[in-house]
This record gives sequence, C-alpha cells and structure tokens, in this order.
Amino acid sequence: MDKFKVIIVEDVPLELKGTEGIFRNDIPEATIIGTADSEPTYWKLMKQELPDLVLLDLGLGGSTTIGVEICRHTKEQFPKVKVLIFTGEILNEKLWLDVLDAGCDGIILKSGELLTRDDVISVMNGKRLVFNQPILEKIVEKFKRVVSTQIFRQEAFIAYEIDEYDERFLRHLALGYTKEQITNLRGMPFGVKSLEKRQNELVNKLFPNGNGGMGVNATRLVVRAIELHILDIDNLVPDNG
Amino acid sequence: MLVYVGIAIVVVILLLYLFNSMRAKQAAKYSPDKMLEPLRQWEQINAQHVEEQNDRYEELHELQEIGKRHVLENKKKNIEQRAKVSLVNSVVPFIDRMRNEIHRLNAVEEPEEIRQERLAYVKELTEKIKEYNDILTQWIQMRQGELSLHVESVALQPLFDIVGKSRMGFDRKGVRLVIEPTSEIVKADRTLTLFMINTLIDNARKFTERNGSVTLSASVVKEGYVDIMIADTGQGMTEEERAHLFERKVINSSSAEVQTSHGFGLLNCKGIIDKYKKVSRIFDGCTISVESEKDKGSVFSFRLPRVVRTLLVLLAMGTCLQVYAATPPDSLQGNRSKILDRISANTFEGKLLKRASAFADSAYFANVNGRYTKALQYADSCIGKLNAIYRLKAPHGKDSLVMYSQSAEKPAEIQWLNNGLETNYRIILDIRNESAIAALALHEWELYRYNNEVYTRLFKASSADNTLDSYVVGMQQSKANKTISIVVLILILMLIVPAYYVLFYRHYVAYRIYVERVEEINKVLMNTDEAQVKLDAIARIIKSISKHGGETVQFNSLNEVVSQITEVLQKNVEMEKAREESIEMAEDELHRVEIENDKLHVNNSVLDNCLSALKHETMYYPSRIRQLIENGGEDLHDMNELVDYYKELYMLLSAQAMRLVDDLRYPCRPVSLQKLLKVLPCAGENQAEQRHILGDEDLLTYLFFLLAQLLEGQTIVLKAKDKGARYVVIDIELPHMVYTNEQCRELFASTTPNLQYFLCRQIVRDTGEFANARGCGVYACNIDNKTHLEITLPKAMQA
Repeated sequence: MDKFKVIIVEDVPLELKGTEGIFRNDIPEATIIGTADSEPTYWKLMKQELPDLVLLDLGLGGSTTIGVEICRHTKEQFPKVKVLIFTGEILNEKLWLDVLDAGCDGIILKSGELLTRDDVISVMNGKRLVFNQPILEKIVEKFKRVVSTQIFRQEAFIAYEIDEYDERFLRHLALGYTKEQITNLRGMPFGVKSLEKRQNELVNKLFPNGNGGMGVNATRLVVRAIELHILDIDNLVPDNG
Repeated sequence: MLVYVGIAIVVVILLLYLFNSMRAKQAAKYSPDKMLEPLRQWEQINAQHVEEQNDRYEELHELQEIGKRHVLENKKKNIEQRAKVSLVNSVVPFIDRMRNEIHRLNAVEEPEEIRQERLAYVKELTEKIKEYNDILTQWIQMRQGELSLHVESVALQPLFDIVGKSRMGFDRKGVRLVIEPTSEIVKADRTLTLFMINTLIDNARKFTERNGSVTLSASVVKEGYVDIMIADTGQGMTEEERAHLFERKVINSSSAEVQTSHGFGLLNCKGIIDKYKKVSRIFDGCTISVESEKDKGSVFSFRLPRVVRTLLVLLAMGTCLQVYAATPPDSLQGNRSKILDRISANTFEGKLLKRASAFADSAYFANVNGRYTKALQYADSCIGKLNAIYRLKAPHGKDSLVMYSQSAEKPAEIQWLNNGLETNYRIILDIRNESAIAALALHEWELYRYNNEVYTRLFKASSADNTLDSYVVGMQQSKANKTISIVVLILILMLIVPAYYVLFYRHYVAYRIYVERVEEINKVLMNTDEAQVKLDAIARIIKSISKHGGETVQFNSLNEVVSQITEVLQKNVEMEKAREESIEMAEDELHRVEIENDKLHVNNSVLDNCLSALKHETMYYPSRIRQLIENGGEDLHDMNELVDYYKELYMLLSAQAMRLVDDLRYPCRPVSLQKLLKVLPCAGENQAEQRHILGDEDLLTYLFFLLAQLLEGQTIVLKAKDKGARYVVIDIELPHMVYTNEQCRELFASTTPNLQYFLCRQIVRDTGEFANARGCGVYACNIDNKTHLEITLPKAMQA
C-alpha cells in the first residue's frame, strides 16, 4: 500500500493515544498530518492540507453527533477524500444510517477488534461500505430479519392459503376501500356477498384459534394480515396506481 | 214555569257574574310574576351549581399547575439520570480499547517495546475509567440525601383495579387473570408499587402458556406487613434458576410461545426494595422473593409495611319543589230588570157615578122603609144618571137603560158589558135588585120579572167576569206567548251555555290549560333532570300547547313567561355544555400531566438503582486489571478473562439503563427563543428575536437557566444566527477570557469538573436526538481573548 495522509478527528485524548498507537503499530504507511478535537480545528487543518483519509469520531466535545455534519460537508467539498467513521456509538443504529446517508466510506465501531489494518487498506483501495466485525454482525442481523420477513410473506401465503384475490381484498381494505369499491376494481370478479364470504373465510384462516374471545372486525383482520406479512406495510398501494 | 225559567236565567247570570269576579281575582293570583317565581328559584339554585362548576375548573387548573411543576422537577432529575447514563456509555470505548489491547497482547508475539506500550496504555485506560467512576460516584452521592421516594398510605385495591384494566392482553393469550379483592393499605411509594406489580404481572403473563392462569392477591403477614403475591401456572423455574434470579443473568425461555427477558424487571424491583430499606427502618422487613417449581408455576411476592385506616363517606342532598294547584272557574254577566207602573186618574164621569150610586143607595133605603114607589123613582133617577154616563162615553149609542121593557133585545146593561163599557155595574145590579124588590112589593109583576131577569143576567155576566172572552182569547194568546217565551227563554238558556263557552269558557279553558302547561313547565324546571332533558320536555309541552290552543297569541303575558323560561334554560344548556367540556378537557389534561409525572418518577427511581448497581458491581475490575499490570503483566490469561467479563457485565448493566432511557422520549415542539433568552443577563437586544427552537420547552428553559447560573450575572453579548436551514447558533460572548483553551476543551466534556456544564450538554444532545438534528452541540472556545459559548440547536420550521 502506498503512503497516505490521515487526519484523526477525536476529542478524548486517551482514545486518541490508542488510535495513534494502532496506526503506529499496525499501519505504518499512514502519516498523521493532524489531529482535531473540534469542528473549527478540523476545518482549519483541512484548509492547511488535505489528507487522503479522515478518521472521524462522531461525538466531539459538546456534541455527540456533529461528526455526521462534518462527514457530509467534507464529502460535498472534497469528494476525493475518504471518510472512515470511528465511533463508540455502538447502539445507535439510527446514527449509523444518518452517517451512511452523509456519504461515509465505512463505519468502524470502537469495539471488538477496533480499527484493523485490513479495513484501512480496503478503504484506501476505494472499497465502499467498510465495516468492522461488530457493526457487520449487527447489519447482517438486521438484513436477515428483513429478508426473513419477505420469506415469511411467501410462507404466509402458502400456510394460510391466501390467493391473489385475498391479497388484493385485504390490501384495499387496509387502504380504506369499502366492499362496494373493491368489487369495482378491475379484474375483481366478485360481488359484495362473495367478498363478505371471503372475509369470513379469511377470518377463520388467519385466526385458527379465535381472537381471545373477541370479535374480528375488518381492522383486526387487516392488522393480522400485516402481522403475518401477508400485507407489506411499507408497500400499501392500491391497484392501478 | 216562566218564572222558574226566569229565575234559572237570573241565577245563571248571577253565577256568571260571580265567576267573572272570581276569575278576576284568580287572574291576579296568576300574574306573570308568580309564574316566573319558579324560574327565579331555579336560577338561584343554578347559580350555585355554576359556581360549583367554576370552582371545580379552578381546582383542576391548580392541580394541573402543581402537576406541571412536579413534572418539571422530575424532568430535571431525569436529565441528570440521562447524563449519568451517557457518562456510563462513554466508558465503554475505553473498555473496548482495553480489551483490544489485552487480546492483542495475548494473541500475537510482539516486540517487548510494543508490549510495554500496550500495557502502559491499558493502565492509563484503567485510570481513566476510575476517574469516570469517581465522577459518577460523586454525582450519585450528591443526590443520596434527597428522598426521591414519595412514601404514603396506599390502598391496594385501586392499584389492583388498574392492573385489571390490562385484562385484554391476557384474554388474547388465553391466560386467565384472577385478581382477588383486598382492603389492605400499605406504606409505600404508590407509583413504584404499581410499577412493581405491573412488572411481575407482565413477567407472569410472558411465562405462562395458554389456558394457564395468573393470580394477584394480597395477604397480611405477621408483624404488620402485607405480602403482595403474583402466582402463575407457567413453566416455573429450576432451583438453580431461582437462586440466581435476582442476579444479572438474562434468562431465555425455550418454549416458542413464551417471550424472553425475565431479567431486568426483577432487578428493578429488587432495586426498589433495596431503596426502601435505605430510606427508613419501617421498611426493614421488606423483601422480594420467589417460590417456584419447574413446570408447576411460580409465586413472586414482595412485602410492604401495613397501614390500618377507616374511610368516611359523605352524602349529598338534592332539593325539589312543589307544584302549584289551581282551581276555580268563574264567569261574567250583567243583569237587567224593569218595572212598569201604571197610574189611574179621576175624571167627570166619576162624579156621575157618584150620583148614581147615591140614588141606588136611596132606592135601597126606600125599599127597606117600605116606600116602594119612591124606590122605583130613585131607581129611575139612577138609570138616568147611568145613561148620562153612557151618552158621555158613547154619544151615538142607542142602548139606554130602561126601567121596563118588553123588547126581546138584550138589555142595555148586558150590551154595555159586552161592549166593554167602563161603568159601575154594581150600581146597575143594585138598582135592578131594588127595582125588582119594589116591583114585587107593588105587585107589578111585569116590572118585577124584567128587573129580576136583567139583574140575574147582569149578575151572571159581571160576576162571572165578562172579560172572559177576551180573557180566554188573551189566555190563549198568552199561553201561546208563554209557550213561545218559554221556548225562547229555554233557547236563550241553552244559548247561554254555548255562548258562555264560546265567549268565555273556551278562552278561559285555553288560558287555564296554558297556565297548567306553564306550571308543568315550572315543574319540569324544578326537577332534577339535566338541563337539556328539561329543555326537550319543555319543547314538547310547548308543542302540545300550540297543538291544542292555537289561541296562545292572545295570552301575551303567558307567552312572555314561557319564552323567558325557555330562553334562560337554553342559554343555560349552552353554557353548561361549554363549561362541562372545559372541565373535561381540564381533567384530561390533569390526567395526562399525572401520568407523565408517574412515568418520570418511575424512570428516575429505577435509573437510580441501575446506576448505583453498575457503579458497585463494576468498580472492582479496572482496579484489578491495573493491579495485574503493575504486578508484571504476565497474567495475560487472567487479564483476558477479567476484561472480557468486565465488558460483558458492563454491557449488561448499561443496557438496562439504556432501556430505561430509551423508554422516555420528549416531544419536540417549537419554543420561542426570545422566551428562552429572557433568563440570560443580556445587553437587552433580543426583543425582536423571532426564531423558534425545536425541543421540549421545560428542558430548554432549564438549559438556559443553568447557563444563566453558570454565567453568574456577567454581562454578555448574545447573538443568534441561522446555520444552514435547520439550525440556530446562539453565540454567547463572555466579557473576557474566563477559561483557558484547555479548559474550554474540557468544559462540556464527560470529565468536566462542573457537572452543570455536563447537564447542558446532555440537554442539547437529547434535543438533537429527539429532533433528529445531528448538528446540535455546545462548545466553548476562545476568540480574540474572549471566551465564547456556542450552542447549536434545531430550528423549528415556521408554519
């Protein structure tokens, strides 16, 4: 790997010491041209000399998330500079999303193996979405959950014997259509009576053990369909637009 | 007959007159004022009611204010707790770094120099961690003296009732919730007790499967304590699980139906019991415990001190009023009577009659004395006088009285009588009688016979009333007249009745009906129904009036009464509704404030426990690791184990705290910046400040209050400006360089010497988090030898 210049943005001195130690011991190709503990200091450094890589902590001094804005502005002004987030926010997933939106090249959590040479090399070689193991694990977990949801959806269709008409019926119920309006949809061959029958059948299918003694109205039915992933709550659109 | 009818008419007329006067009297009795009296009374009662309502509204407002103040206090405490948690969180990277270094030491063979470096670094880290721990300890101890428990006498049944509301969750899972009623009262913090019961109930539900049951009950235990028990028929625990239940092991159930995480709730409950014990000796006997058998179920119970008390109940009274009754009828009439007089007068004929009479008397005396021839002479003179009278009366008359006649014609006197001549027939009778007697005595048989006959005929005719014919005719006529008049009178009598009815009675009855309706209205007015119900009833009554009456237009005074009553009632209904709505709103608002307060209180208390526990349990490890390093750093294996365990424990405890912190979110509303800046000792230029900050008003106010305190009355120059589209930067310039550059850096950091600055940072951090504004922050820096405090807050978009 070629030599490259790094600016480290870190406000806790002891942590900075550790980070500098990592670079010194594991990544000798890096030259630390400056360290900043606040936003103004950082921009001053950037004015003086542009680095190849910015190792950016998210929380500086009185702000815990100013790093997101720093990342955004750096990427806007200096697109060639790589920004690698190095943060102790190991639980704040919303924050990770925000900083990914801000254009960072990767996120390294200050846990597990912390910053490794391999990760830094990947970033310098132009790889995007570089994550260290702890955050990667969390991301994969979330990913699995989302995909499982989709799998659930397929399986729910099979398990509960839902056909295309059931799905359309439920989806339009969820959107607030009346049964009359649903019968008027294109390609819906049923009348109101048939739809009512279908609704009763759906109730029996989706509530094999009843609803704890309570009746099942259209709202409950639709919510159940959402719970079972028969309906995708993020994609509720009516037919024809 | 006529008389009777006449009397009847007179009586009826008299009665009508009587009734009329009675009615006049009654009318005075039913004057509009009298009619309106119930309305006045009702208004008075209502005024009381209105006052009560207004009082209630005032009361609710006051309670709201008190509640809001409590909420503010709790929010301030909560910010402190959150700041402490953030302190705890900032230790985690150090622990990670330690771990990393120690792992590296263990894993790879590195040059001694580097190893020593690492060890030194680790040592520094342990020192840093200790520093943070000390701050945390100091902070916790600062608050130790304050009693954040509100201990009072708490009746358990109301809490049980609140738990009963969550029955639906149980029903949906097919688990039976049984709550045994209790009259026990305990000495404890109400909110925390409810929190504990809810936690245990939720756990029981999680770990009990379909068709099981969960029972909540309270029972008295020896020495003045009450055990609150939650028993379930769930999957139970093994001996081992039970033993470590209140330690920090998160237990996952193997059954698919059952949800996980038994752990934190119980730890929090235990923490609360421990807190009670610290507070006062009366809580010495308090415990929390569990009995359980695998697959048979568990019984969780906690013990609180018992209170014995009685309750009082108050009664309310209502009023009612009476209804008026009414009676009489009345009538009206006039009367009329007439009397006719007749006057008779004396005339010339009277004199003649007198002479005739005198002759007749003379004739009588002559007969008595036996001088019959004289008698006849006197009779003749008398007749002459009578004829004179006749000639006076009927100058052309041919009938004259004669002494003797042989004609078969009717004698003159009979003629006279038939013609209705007015004369004294008694004199004629006398003279004929005397003539007859004289003639008999003189043996003049023809004369005697003639006078006798005339006398007899005359006598018959006159004494038998010679007006008989006319009389009969008259009688017949008068009978006919009488019949007619009787008929007419009867008709009139009959007509009086309908006339009376049409003219007076109907009017009167309508009036009376109206009055009665008005009284009904008054009755409705005074009953205890709601105003709207009353109004409806009254509308119905009014409709029935117009249906029946139709002539209600006439009764102006009554109309006015009715319209006044309806108006007043209508207005009252409207205002009542408005008042009730505002009371309901106030009650809801109060409720909301109370719930918010409870939540904050629980959150604060439980966080207290969490943080204390965390401090206690993890204090040991950094020191131990340090010790190992100082001893040569050769026990890498031990160090490894230690640091791993430390990390795990720390994560567990801090996760518990994080859970609680995440539970509470503050709403983000626009807050006027000008209002916030009022606290600061500015040079007074911020009147025109129009910007709004997005955040929680209480917290932001506290932020600026803290800043004001920290600035200690120094005059500052304050500038607020926009930063991008989403932020407002408030730049506070202090009069000189208060802090060195180094101090500026440290001012808002975790290790800041002044915890109040740390609180400011926490408020700004939380505001940014809730408003999703990542650019928020607070800094201190020195520019041109003046210390600046720069606060970046989210800008509220103008609507």
